[in-house]
Amino acid sequence: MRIFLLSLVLSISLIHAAIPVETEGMEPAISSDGTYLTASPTYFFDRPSLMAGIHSQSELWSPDFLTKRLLVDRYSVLPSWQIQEPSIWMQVGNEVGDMIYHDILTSSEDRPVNRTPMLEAGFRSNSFHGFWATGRFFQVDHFSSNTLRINRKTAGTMEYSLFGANLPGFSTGYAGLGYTKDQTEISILAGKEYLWLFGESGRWISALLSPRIQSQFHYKKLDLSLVYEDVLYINKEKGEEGTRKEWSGSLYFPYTDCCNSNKFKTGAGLAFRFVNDEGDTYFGLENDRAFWAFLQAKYEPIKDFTVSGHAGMNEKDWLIQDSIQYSLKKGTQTHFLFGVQNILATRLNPMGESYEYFDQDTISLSTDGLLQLYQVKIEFNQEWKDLQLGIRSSGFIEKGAETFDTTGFAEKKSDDWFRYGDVSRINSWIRGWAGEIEFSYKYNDLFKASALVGMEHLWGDEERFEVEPSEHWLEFNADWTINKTLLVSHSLHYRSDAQWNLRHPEPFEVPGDWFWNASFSQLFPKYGLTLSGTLLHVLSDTTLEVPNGNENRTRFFCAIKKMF
Amino acid sequence: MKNQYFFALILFAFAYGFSAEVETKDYMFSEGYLALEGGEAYPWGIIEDAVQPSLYGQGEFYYRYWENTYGLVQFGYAYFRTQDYFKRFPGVHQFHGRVGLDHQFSWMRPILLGVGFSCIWARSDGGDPEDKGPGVMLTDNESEFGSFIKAKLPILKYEKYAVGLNIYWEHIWTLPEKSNMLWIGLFVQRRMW
Repeated sequence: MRIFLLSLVLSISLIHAAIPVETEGMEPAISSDGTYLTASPTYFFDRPSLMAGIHSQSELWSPDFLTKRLLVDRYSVLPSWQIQEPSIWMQVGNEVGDMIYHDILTSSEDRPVNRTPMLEAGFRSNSFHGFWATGRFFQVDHFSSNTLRINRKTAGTMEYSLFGANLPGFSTGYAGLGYTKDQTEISILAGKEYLWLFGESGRWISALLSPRIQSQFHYKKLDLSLVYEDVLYINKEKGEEGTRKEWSGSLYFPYTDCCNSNKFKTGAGLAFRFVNDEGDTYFGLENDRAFWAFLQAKYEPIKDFTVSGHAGMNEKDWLIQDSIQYSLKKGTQTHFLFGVQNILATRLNPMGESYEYFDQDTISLSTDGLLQLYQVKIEFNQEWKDLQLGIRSSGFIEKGAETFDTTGFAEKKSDDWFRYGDVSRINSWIRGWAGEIEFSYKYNDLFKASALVGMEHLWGDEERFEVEPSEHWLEFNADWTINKTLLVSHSLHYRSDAQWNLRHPEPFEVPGDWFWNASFSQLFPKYGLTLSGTLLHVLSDTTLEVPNGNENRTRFFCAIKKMF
Repeated sequence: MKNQYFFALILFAFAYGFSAEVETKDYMFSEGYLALEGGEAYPWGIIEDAVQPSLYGQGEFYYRYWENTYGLVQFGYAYFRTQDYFKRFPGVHQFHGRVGLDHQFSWMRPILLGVGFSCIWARSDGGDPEDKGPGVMLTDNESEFGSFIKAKLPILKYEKYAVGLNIYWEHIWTLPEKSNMLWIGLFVQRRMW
C-alpha cells in the first residue's frame, strides 16, 4: 500500500513536472515570462509578468519569505536549507564546452573560457519512530567564470569552496536531525557555506559561514525558526577581514479561522535579526538589530469575493499590502477574475541590511519617504474540452519607487564598475500596463503543450529605473509522457531587450534572446526511482545579463533520485 | 547544424510519443543483465589530429524498461595515446559513463537501436600544469557531456549468456568544436534475473 501511494505521488508530481533546474531556486535562470536577469546563483533580478512596480519580486518583503535566505537586502531560495522529502539523490552537470581533446590542438590565446560544473548529493532517511537524519552537499559553479579573476584576488585563493577551484556563487554542506510525527516537525541542521554576495555597489563580497546552524519547529498552527551564523568576510587584496555573529529567526502563526467564522482568517508573526560585527564587515545593520511584527487577514464575506492582506511595522518602517479579488465562474469552463492591489511601504525590505561600506563611502540601503503602488488586474480563462485559453492584463501606478542615486563610479577592471551613492526614490508617478495570452492543449495524459505571448510597457522617469524590463516575451512548452514512465519536456523562450541604467556609466543593454530547454526523465514508479538528463539555455547567445555578473551559458545536468 | 539536431530530437519525441503503445503489462525491471564489453574507440574528424584510436573496456547494467525497450547504464575506461608529434604528455586517461535506451523495432530484428547521454572525464597522463601551452587544461580534470546513438547486434545466445556487437556514434559537446568518436565493441552478457 505504501509503495503504491509513493508511486502514485511520484507519478502525479512528475507527470506534471516542467523543465527541472539544477537545484531549487535556479528557476529565474531559465524563465522568460517577465524579466529575469541572472548574475550568479546568489543574485537574480526576477520580475515575473504582470507584476506591479519596477522592483524585482525578491526585493519586496512577504510572509512567504520568512524561511528563505536573506542575501544583503533581497530574499533568495538559494542556497536552500529546506528539508527535502525522504530520498537519496545525486546530480552532476556542466556548462557545455570543456575542450577535452581539442585542448591539444588549441593554442592558449584561442582557448575558450573554462566551463564550470555543478554538484549535488544528499539524503534524508526514512523516519524511525518519527526521527530522521539528513545531509546535503551542493554547489553550482556555473556563472562564475567572469568574476573568477577579481574574486580570486578577494579570496586570496582558488580553494574558496567545499570542492574544486572555480569560486562558485555558493558552496554548501550541512547535516542534521529531525522529528516528524502527526502535526509536529522539528529539525536542526548544521553546516558550512561559502557565499559570494552582490552588493549594491556592484562588488562581489566573500562570506564564509562556519558554522551555520538552523533549527525549525512546527506544531499545529505555530512555526518557529532560529538561525545562528558565524560569518567571516575577507578581502585579501586589501588586507581586510571582519566577522559577524548573527542570530535571526521568526515566530509565525499561519492563517487560522478567527472570531468564530470560517469567512475570516488571521495570521501573525515576528521576524528578528541580531548581529555583532567586528572588523571590516562591509554591511551594517542599524542598532545591530532588525525586527518585523506583522498581521495577516483574509476575509471572504461572500463566495468568490476575497479581501486579503498583511501589514507590518518596526521602529522605523511600515508596510501594508492588500488586495481585493472577485472571481466569477460560469459553469466549469469560463472563469473571470478581477482584482485590485495596493502597497504602501516606507521600505521594500525592512529586514535588509541598512548600510553597505565601500571604500570611504557608506551606501545607505534605505531612504526617507513612502512608496505607493496601486494595481488593477483582470483574468479570463476559457476551456473547451482539451483546449484552454487564458487572457490576463494588469495596469499599475507607482509613486516613490525605490531606486539608486548613483553619484560616481570606480572602474575595477575593463568594464567592471563599482558605484557610489545611496538608495533613493522616484517621487513622480510611474505607470505600467501588461498583457498576456496563453493557449494550452492536452491530449490524454500523453501530450500537453502551451504557447504564451506577453507584452508590457512602462511610462515614467525611465532613466532612473534600475532595470527597464523586457517589453515582449514568448514561450512555447511541450511535454510528452510516454507509457507513463518516460517524460520528454521542452520549452522555447524569447525575451526582448532589457536595460540596466544605474550600475554602469552607460546604459547597459541586455540584448533580447531566444533559448531552448529540454529534459528527459525515466521513471520507475514502483521503485521510487527517477533518472533525468536536462539541457538548459540552448541555442542562445552567451550574454552578460547583469553588469559585473556572469554569462548565462548552455548547461547540461543529469540526476538520479530514489525516494524512500 | 546545432538547430537541426534539436529539431530532429523534437520531431522524434513527437512522433514516438504519438506512436507509443500503451503498456498493458508491467515490464519494468522484469529482466536484468550484466555485461562486459571490450573494443576500440576511433576519434573522428578534427580530434583525429590530437589522439589515436584506443582500446576500451566497460561494464554494463541492462534492464527491461518496456515491452521492446531496454535501459542501459555503462561505465568504462580508455587510454588515448596522443599523436606522436605532441610531446607534453603521452596520453589521456578517459573514464566514461552512459545512460540510455535500446529499442527493438519489429522490422529490424534482431538489431536494437539506442540513444542516450554520455559523460566523459579526462585527465592527462603526466604533463606540466604550469606550462600554459596546448593540453594544459587536461593536466587538471576536464569533463563534458554529450549524446550517442547506437546499434546492438546479438550474435550468439546460450542459456543465460549472449555475445554480440555494439556500435556507438558519440557526439561530445566540447569547444571550440564538438568531438565525435566511433566505438565498436564485443560484449558478453549474462542474464541475472
